[in-house]
Amino acid sequence: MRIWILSFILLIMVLIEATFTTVPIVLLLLISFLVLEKKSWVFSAAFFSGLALDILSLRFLGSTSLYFIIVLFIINLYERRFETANIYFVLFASFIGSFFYLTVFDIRFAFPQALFSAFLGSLIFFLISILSKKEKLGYKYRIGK
Amino acid sequence: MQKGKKYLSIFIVFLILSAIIFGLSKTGIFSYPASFVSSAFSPVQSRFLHFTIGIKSFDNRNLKEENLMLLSQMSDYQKLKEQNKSLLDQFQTSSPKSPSLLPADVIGAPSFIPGLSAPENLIINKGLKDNVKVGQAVIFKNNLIGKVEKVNQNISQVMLITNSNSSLTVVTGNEKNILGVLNGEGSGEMVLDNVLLSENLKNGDLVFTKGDVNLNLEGIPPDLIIGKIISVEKRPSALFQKAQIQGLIDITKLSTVFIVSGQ
Repeated sequence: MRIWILSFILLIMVLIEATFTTVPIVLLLLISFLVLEKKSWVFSAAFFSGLALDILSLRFLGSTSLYFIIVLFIINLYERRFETANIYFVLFASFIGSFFYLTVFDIRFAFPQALFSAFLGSLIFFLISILSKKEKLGYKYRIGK
Repeated sequence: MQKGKKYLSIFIVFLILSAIIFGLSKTGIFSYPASFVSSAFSPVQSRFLHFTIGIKSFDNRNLKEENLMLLSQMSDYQKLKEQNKSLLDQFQTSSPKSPSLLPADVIGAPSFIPGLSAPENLIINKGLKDNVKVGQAVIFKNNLIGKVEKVNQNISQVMLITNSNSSLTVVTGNEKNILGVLNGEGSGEMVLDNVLLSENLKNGDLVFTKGDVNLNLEGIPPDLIIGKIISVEKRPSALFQKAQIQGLIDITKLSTVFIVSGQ
């Protein structure tokens, strides 16, 4: 159930990014998913959402997927040595990930957009972590009963 | 350790898959599956965008429409005057073909902060199957919006004239005899450049396309409105003079545009 809700949120974000904004909100969401969930399905989500973005933004198919997967893998490598589930790491990863994304896909004003993305990424991380905590508490409560 | 190996194998699988798709997409093998996805999403995108445009365009709409209509009439008047003169002189031959217009819905207008910053491109719901080709002009009323930059089966990307990569030859002045190059500056701004210092640019003068069409009448037709001059930068030491151009159309509020499809 949980994975379907997260997939639905991701689909909405794909539509919003393709229709309204050049800020890489799908990437920001995937970073937060990986850092908080630490599950392998995030890679498949990155692959499919990247393909959808490529189609809707008329890019070469597979280019966004490639970028998303490489960024998530680098974050995953970092996670093996250090604690990544904190807002400072998300701020940093969102900034670097967004900056290179905007540069690779030739979107203007990469630096201010990356700065904005870093704060937006932290906000997304904050909201998802609150939702995760509530869900975990609910789960514990149900087990306790 | 096990978890790390699992991640590595998943990473490698998706990396290879993405690389294969990326490589094959250049051959056009995925154009039909991609068109299926884009046709499924484009109505949703269109509704999404039209809903927000409806909210934004509530204020000052009538005044702006009226202003636009008057400026369009002014350009039509100038055009008629010139045509009349040319016909009288029997110099102008009429074109055997007239371009046809293909209406298209705007389904995407990505910008940094929607509503605050101007988009650089538009996504429209017409593509190869509607005979849309790269380089065709996209207009609204008699204003040039941009030209088709990328096309797939169902959707196309339009590079706006304000895009920093956009550049075209334009004319201005009462007699439309002042030649210049219009460069997009991004963020909804345009600059008229390469105008000789001897020419007299005036604030409020309209800027028109010079025209760049092929035998099938595809490309940028002449006499389309680009915008009006809002400031002139003339320095005696410079080779050319420059002018800031303001578009007459608010691109963020467009829901339908027209592709000049030639034939």
